[in-house]
Amino acid sequence: MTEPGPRPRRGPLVVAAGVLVAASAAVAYLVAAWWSIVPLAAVLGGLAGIGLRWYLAPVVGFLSGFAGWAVPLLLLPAEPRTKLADVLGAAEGLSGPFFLWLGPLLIGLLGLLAGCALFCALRLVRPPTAREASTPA
Amino acid sequence: MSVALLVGASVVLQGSLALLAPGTGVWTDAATASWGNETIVLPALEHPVTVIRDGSGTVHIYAQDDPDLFYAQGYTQASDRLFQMEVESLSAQGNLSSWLGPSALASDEMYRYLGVPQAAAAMAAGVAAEDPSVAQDMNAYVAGVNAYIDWAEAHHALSLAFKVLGVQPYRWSLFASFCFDRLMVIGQTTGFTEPLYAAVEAAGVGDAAFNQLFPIYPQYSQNFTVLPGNGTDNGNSLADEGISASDLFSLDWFGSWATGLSDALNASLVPLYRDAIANLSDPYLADLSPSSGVGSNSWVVAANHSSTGTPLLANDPHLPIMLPSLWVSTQLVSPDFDVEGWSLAGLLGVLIGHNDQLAWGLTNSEGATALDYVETLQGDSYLQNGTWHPLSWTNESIRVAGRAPVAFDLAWTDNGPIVARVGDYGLSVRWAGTGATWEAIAELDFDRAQSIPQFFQALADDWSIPNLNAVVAQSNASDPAGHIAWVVPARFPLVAETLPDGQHVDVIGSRGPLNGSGGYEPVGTVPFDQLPQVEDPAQGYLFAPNQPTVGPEYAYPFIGSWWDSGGRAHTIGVYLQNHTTMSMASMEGLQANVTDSWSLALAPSLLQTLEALAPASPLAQAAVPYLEAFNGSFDVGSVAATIYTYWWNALVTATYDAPVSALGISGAPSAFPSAYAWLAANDPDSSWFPGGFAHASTLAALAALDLLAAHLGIGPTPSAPNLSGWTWGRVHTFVLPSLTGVSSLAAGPYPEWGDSYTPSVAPFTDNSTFPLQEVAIGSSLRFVTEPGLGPSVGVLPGGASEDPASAYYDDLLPLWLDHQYVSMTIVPTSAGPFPEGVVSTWTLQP
Repeated sequence: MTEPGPRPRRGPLVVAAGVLVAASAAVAYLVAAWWSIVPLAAVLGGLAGIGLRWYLAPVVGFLSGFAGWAVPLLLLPAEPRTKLADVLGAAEGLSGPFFLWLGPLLIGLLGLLAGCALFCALRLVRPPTAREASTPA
Repeated sequence: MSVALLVGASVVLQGSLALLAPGTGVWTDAATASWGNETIVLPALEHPVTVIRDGSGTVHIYAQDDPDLFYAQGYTQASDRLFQMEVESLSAQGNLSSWLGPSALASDEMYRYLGVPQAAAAMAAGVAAEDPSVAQDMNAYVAGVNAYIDWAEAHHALSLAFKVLGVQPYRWSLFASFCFDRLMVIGQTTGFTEPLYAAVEAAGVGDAAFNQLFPIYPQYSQNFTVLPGNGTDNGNSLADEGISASDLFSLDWFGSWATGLSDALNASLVPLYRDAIANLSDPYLADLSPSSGVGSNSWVVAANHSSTGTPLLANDPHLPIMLPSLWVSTQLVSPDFDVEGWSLAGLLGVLIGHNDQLAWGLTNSEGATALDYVETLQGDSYLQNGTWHPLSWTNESIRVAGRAPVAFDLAWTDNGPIVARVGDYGLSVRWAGTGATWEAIAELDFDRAQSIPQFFQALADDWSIPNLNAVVAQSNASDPAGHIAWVVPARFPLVAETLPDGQHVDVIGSRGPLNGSGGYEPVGTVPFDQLPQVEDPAQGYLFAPNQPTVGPEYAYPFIGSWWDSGGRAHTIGVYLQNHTTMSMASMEGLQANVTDSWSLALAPSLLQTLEALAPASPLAQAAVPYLEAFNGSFDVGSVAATIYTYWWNALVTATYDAPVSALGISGAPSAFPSAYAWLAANDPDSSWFPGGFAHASTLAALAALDLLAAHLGIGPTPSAPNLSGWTWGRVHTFVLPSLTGVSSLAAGPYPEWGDSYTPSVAPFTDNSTFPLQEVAIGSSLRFVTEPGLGPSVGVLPGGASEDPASAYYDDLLPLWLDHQYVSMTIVPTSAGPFPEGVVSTWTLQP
């Protein structure tokens, strides 16, 4: 029987993830550069996958990308935002709400891919230990 | 998947995400769509300025001096309409292609052909010398626009259209304002293409046939002229010169005696005329063809014709309607300026409106202020008075998005720019607009005018083009009855003609192009005091909805005029004649009137046709009761209006449109029902009706009924057709396209009342479609007012903002569709703070 090893220190990672989600949204809003969200989502997803559970890489990547886009949107005045979404959505044959969330969905998808990519890259650099490999995913 | 495809997909994704980015993309529109209470620091101001927006979107600007007033007007106009201002001015600059790409080249070339950039540059350079005070005001306006551009760029707050098109605003300038001024002038100018269409049609169908449908002075209906009486104006008349008006107007003014061009030469020049028509065509903003449907209504009643004891004035300019609206509802207040009304985005001041003494409105008077000349060319020289002169040239370079600039050299003769050339002949256009003219100065002067003489003086001093009617009313507390007046302030160029009998007369305009090689150049302009005008006419009212301005005795015959048919004038004139106690409500009601007086003249012919067909045609039988009950009203529920219109369309398509379209021109003048009604009664065997009018009417009725039955149905029982669903609103609809061209930003379609001849106008120019072509021209504003500080109302088909996310983008449209109004009553500065309905207050702080 294998002796239990030291418990992984997850607290700092969770805090870091929260900080980065907020930073992602802030950077997107302040720098106003959509692409800045993607590397942040990659870092978050990659770290979460490596440090916690592998499946958190896509989940956190998606959520941080989504949040980075959605938070600034939600800060806009609700009525003109809804009207604009309806108008612009109609131009593309989409419903207003779907058009509104299209950006967060797309950027979330990019975050998902980036998170997975970084997770895989880190795995190549640091293969799982025997214990990690034996731990059911 | 290829690398190219991956890169392409990546670029598309990047583009899409950039457009959707919350910080810089389309969503910023939502962030700036709401008007709030703000303090904005603008160091260029001398004193604080207060900008109040009321619930209808009207902007009220209170400043302590005029430069601050116009600085604030520029700033607020740009905040609401920057894209509109920039795209419209860019169009007139002949550089729309720099935003839209090669698709706008034809439009750009047209404004270059008409010399707009040169004229605007001359005005920008010359305004300070012409009027230093106005130059100061205009520069303040420009600085205000640019202050907003600076702010919007720094805050990613440019309006949606900039982001959708992926363009950045250019810096505003006097040049930009004057270019926009020219855009508006060009759209209202008569004489660019009308003589060309006339010459092509006359060459195709014969002078006599053309003159029968389009007489110079319409003899086929009662002409409700603007100037009451026979045309004697300020004591002058043709009779004083020993000239018989009836003889003069019955002459063939296409003849070589009148134009210097023989019939044979004219016929050989048809390809040149066609090219010139094509080159003078702007598919975007200014339709110069005679069939454009552009017109306007205005009328004014004196105190003794109103129930209020004061004059009343109404105005609704009929122009292409878009979102955003053309007009900006504005009040401007400074120590020597207090005016409320309708501004144009891109220009300072108020063009149509009222101040504390006056109210005024504008319509098109249709007389020619432009002349077309056929130039005889040899290489780079042109013939004038028997000698060859070198052409002068301007180098035009049009910037094109994504491509190299398109350059061409524009040739000029003494007459003006050559807009088309075929072999050794060119077609030049002569109009005052290729040089500096000062309507911008006139506008600020009449905004300040305190009496009708001052208003007239402002026009006399500085108004040259376009050819407009100005109606004006005056009233104040000490003289509530006041005065009413009308003038056509354009500087009409006069051509000296020698009639076939040897008599001489100076005329306005020409029937066809003139010989440019000498003998037909203008000999002057009509002196202001001899322009069509009247003050306080005995009849107690004046109305100017584009009909003939004067009777046939007017001393300067309008030969090149393309009057409206007079249908709206007929309805309005009869109404005013019969209602001697007009009120604000009845003025509004007349603006909402949907009676087509020509349909009343022509519908009996249709009814006669249907009754003849009825025994053999259940459809005709079913249609008869509707036509029997028809009162000429084109409301959305009218079945008779639908049947009448499709019969008229079939009739005119077979007898007029078909032969004219074979001549290879589009946009030809529409045949008038009034002319057909006259021909049906007086010349039913005219060459326009092969087989006679009755035969043509029968064929048209059968075609119309079959078409309507096929598209609208006749119910379950073919032997007893049910036509109740054939309502006018099903086939006649209205849309407001977006200036951006994005269809989802458009509004409509809405079922619409009226037609081309109803006071509440809703014209369609293409007769060949089912349902009818969607209406996109109409009352670009409606305005009913007392002069001075009395009640005043108005409405726009749209709203104050060009931002689709704004609550003020199309908020007035439901009111406009329902012929309702919002208050435009001047709030006097003495009343203190703005009393009610404030939705936003900006304090502009130095």
